[in-house]
Amino acid sequence: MTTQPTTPILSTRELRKSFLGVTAVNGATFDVPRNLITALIGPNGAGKTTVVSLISGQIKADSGQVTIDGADVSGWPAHRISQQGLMRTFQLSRELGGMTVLENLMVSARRQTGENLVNVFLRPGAVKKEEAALAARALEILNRYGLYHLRDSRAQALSGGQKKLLEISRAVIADPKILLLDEPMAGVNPALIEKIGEYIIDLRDGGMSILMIEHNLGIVEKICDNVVVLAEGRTLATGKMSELRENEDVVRAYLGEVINADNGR
Amino acid sequence: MSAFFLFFMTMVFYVIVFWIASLGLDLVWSRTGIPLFAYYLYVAVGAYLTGLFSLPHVPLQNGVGNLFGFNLPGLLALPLAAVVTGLFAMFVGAVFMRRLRTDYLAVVMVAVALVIWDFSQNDITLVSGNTGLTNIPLPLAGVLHININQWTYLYTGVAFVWALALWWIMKTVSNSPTGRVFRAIRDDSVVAATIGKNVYRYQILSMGIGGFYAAIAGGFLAQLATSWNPSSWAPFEVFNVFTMVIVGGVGSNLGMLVGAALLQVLFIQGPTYVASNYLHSPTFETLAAAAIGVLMWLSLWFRPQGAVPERLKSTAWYLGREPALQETINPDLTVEERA
Repeated sequence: MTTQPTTPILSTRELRKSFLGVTAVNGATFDVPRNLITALIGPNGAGKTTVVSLISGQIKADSGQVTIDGADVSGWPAHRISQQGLMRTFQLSRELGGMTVLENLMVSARRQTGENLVNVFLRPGAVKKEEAALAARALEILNRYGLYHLRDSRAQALSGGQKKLLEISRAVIADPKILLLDEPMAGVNPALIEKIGEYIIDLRDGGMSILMIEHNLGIVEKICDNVVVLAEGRTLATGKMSELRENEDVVRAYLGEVINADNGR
Repeated sequence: MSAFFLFFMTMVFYVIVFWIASLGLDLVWSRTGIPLFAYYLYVAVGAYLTGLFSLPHVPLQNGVGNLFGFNLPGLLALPLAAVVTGLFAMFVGAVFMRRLRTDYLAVVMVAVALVIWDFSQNDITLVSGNTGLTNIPLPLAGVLHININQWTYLYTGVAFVWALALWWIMKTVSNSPTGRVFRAIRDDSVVAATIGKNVYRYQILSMGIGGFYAAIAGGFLAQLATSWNPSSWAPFEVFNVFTMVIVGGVGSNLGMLVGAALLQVLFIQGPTYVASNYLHSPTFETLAAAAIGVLMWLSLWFRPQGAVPERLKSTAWYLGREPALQETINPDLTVEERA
């Protein structure tokens, strides 16, 4: 089945989630268009990270619907949503610390013959071949993101910025249809922010669709094609950054003081 | 001298058996991250089943009897018991890992082992309560017409062949992409799910393999002792196996052999021999057993990676099989690497 290119790659409808009576997400409804970079912005506590976790299945929604590339994945466990073509990164990097950087990527690849023990013992040749090819692909990606020299290090030994890059590489090797990035530039130095921005644009140009949480509106304006504004767990507005700056609700909820401070960028 | 040789071979037998046991625990605990404190339960289940499969059925009479008995050859009863124990371990895993994580799972696992141990003491219909299973046949002994000493030498060899096969299997599993998924789950199960791995399924698989290894060890213990009852084992003995894993080196298949040998020779079988033949002091024996706790503690303080540390798989390890690929990845970087 092929879906129309105009349908969104990801959409949420009336997503709701409360934790012990505190409502975190209260009817979030938005679409993420194909082949574009969409920013998810909003004040602290707006429910951005919760929305990402609801979409990727780490947290189960109380109600609402999530659709990925036309398939309704509401209520699915995280690994099945991932297999549907969604990858995510975390606000605080979560590397597989005891494994090497190379293995962090290799383990993330899809549909590996050797992930079934029957194949490991009955088709060892096929598994070995696939492993070598996979290692080569992983090394290419590490090279692209400047992690090649760290390939044999334990992932826990990496610096904060390197871990951010590792998370992106780990998502990329799975070749997702939609990539969710939770603050990929938080706590990263300006030079690396610039680079990560370029990497994200490259991924879009390569055909990937991206939804990223980002607080720095300068970056949003520069690299994001589309913006979803979340406030109090609800979708406040969607559109281009330049349009949203004119939107009074958005300015009141989020941009108020930021808009002036950020004007220079 | 012959008495010493018998003691020596028996000790070697124990080293081999506990190498097998620690390989299984290492997979479940160190490589998959499941705090399986019920591990010794599977050793016991394997021992009981090996006994039941190789004994005839004894109907309950005067408080002694077993529910069933298959009268199978001992060499067949052992792997059969291990398969059934593996399935049992998977069932236990499927039930308790559905909703429990880490600390709570650990506590429940201890409880499960204790409850079943208690049950095995009080229930006489299944495996004769405290009397347990007796006269478990020595495999091959009847066929070859050998005495128990000769049998011990022979069976140490059989155990060694088993251990080599199980070592090879464990090595293959842990070097495979499946083993890599296990390690990903150990490091961060949330990330493992995020990258599309069915964490629950892999945890159950790991438990099943662990249960199989535990049962092989248990079956050997029961066959060597020709009996198995609630005083042959206690759930707490799992800490001896944990110590072997820690001292040997978590995640290291050969480390498990070192750990098992170190504990059996220096802290368990060795002191027993010295105590009964030279010192005539049971205190020495109990002190040696108590020293295992100190050993675990010192090992965690001063050498947490163990005697044989886990070896990381390098790029060369992954590419070594296809050398041509090395050149294609990044020629300029390869040059830089050579410099």
